[in-house]
Amino acid sequence: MSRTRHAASASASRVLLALILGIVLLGGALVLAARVGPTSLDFQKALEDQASTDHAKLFELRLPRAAAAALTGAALTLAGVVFQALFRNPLASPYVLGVSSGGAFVAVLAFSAGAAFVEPFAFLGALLALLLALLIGRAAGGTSDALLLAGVVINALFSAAILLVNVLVEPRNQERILRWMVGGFEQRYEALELMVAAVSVLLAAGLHFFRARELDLLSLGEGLAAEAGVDVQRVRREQLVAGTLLAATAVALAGPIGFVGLLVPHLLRGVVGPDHRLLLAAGIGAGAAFLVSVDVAAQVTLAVPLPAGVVTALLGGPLFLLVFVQRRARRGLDA
Amino acid sequence: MTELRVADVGFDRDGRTVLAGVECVARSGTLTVIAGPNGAGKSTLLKLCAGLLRPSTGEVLLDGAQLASLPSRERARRVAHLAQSGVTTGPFTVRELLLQQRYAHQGFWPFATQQDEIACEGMLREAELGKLADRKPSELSGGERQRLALALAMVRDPEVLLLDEPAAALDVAHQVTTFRRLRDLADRGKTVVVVSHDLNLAAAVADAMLILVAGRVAVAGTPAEVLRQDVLERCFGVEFTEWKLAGLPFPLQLPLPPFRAARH
Repeated sequence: MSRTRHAASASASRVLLALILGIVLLGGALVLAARVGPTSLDFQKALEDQASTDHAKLFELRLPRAAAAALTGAALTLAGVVFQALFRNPLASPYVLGVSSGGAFVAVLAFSAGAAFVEPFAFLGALLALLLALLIGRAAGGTSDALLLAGVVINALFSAAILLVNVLVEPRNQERILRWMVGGFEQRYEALELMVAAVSVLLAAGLHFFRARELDLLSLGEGLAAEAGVDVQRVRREQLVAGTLLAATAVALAGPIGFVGLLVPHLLRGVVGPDHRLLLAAGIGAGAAFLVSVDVAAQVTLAVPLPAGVVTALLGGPLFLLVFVQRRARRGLDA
Repeated sequence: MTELRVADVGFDRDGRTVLAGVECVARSGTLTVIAGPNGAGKSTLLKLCAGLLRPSTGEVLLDGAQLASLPSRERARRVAHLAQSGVTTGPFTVRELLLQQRYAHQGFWPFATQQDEIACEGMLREAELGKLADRKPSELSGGERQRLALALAMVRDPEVLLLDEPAAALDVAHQVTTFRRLRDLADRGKTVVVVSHDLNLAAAVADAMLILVAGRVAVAGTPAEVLRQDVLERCFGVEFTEWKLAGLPFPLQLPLPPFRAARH
């Protein structure tokens, strides 16, 4: 391999290129999402005739839905990249601290109380789970392992609580709860809601990007990172909070969608390598493009539109396993 | 002129005393060797000197300032610590790892400066890692990894260099080269502190030696003062054979078991 290429392995220009390529992918996915759907849509008419149903369908259904999928995909991908570095584990998901169950629990409570929308409740529940994880983690010694343990406990607790609520609620709410728990983009998205989500995703992405060097060092080990001058406690706490903000945003928008945060970071590592500046820059667009495309495919592949969460779970598991096994086989234990 | 001072330092771990009442000073331009039996607290003392641990009692001072209270980046710029294990796996190449170690010199903007690139290229040449720059640590031999570990500490251009058994996995030639380099670094004004089990090689280049036994300084002084048969036998609990050689300022000390005539 050429020397110059590696000397510039994460130069600003390469990072910019990764960012642009990701955004181009996202652009393609958004065009796809605008043009392809379970029902027919006259694209020309939708753009020209503002009074047409095609216009309403495009601007009130398809594009907001695609935007929600894009934000969710970007959030889960970035959070996955960061959590995998912080916990030094390629299997760490954005939900590792119990964020999805916390969000789901409060969302389910809101459903059972008959709430018309649950996004803010899911967000608050996710933050509640984070707070609990940090408190329990600190009480258990404050290490990464203690945090992981706290996450497992919180996940189990909230999952049990969700089952309990589900048993107690009226049958018609049970179905809503089940649909939400699968994860997807069926609901209508308001512009304000998407804007809030976009701001939190961009904010967290910035907090991660400017700590990319620390993430590189932390992925080698907390001892080595501290030795190189990283304020490990502070950076870890800050990155966990920012990553959880992303996961909470995703849960609020789409419910607990699985595997995106595992699969996309893994694919990205195969393409851009382990440097977190490149991973984060490429991940924001690539992750968004991935989930937008999955959602389009979920709507049109079968006669019945499927929730995106079902597709990511069905495809994500085996695909992730395949990628993981291949990388292991190729690179030995380093993968 | 840098001065690293360990003042009456004690360290407890899980209620057990690891170090007690340790005193020593290392200055610019000197090479200090810490030796002692396994479990004597050598690595712990080195980590305290690096500011990676806080002493339970006493102080570790860098030019009069409490080391453990310095901002982490300033500490990492001034003091580099090379652990026993170091980087042995991971997805990054040698060059990427070297650039990462320039972190403490960088600002908010998360990219390497030209100065970082120059330091990295210089270190690749100096540590004879140029041909291995695009390899990962898992693809290196034990000796190459050891050279990488030293390079990772040196690329930060620290005032104080603390090394835990830097020559442990090296062949004889690389052991000699490593210690020669450490002497050279001390001569160029660095403060070098090395934990080593090779007493004679260490003594050949050291200005000062210190032997820790069970968490306390058993003996400290110049190599000639420390490398004495009775002292070493007391510290290590084995017999030493003294070997006087013309031209050497002090005799070599060899911890040899008694030779069995029948086998030779």
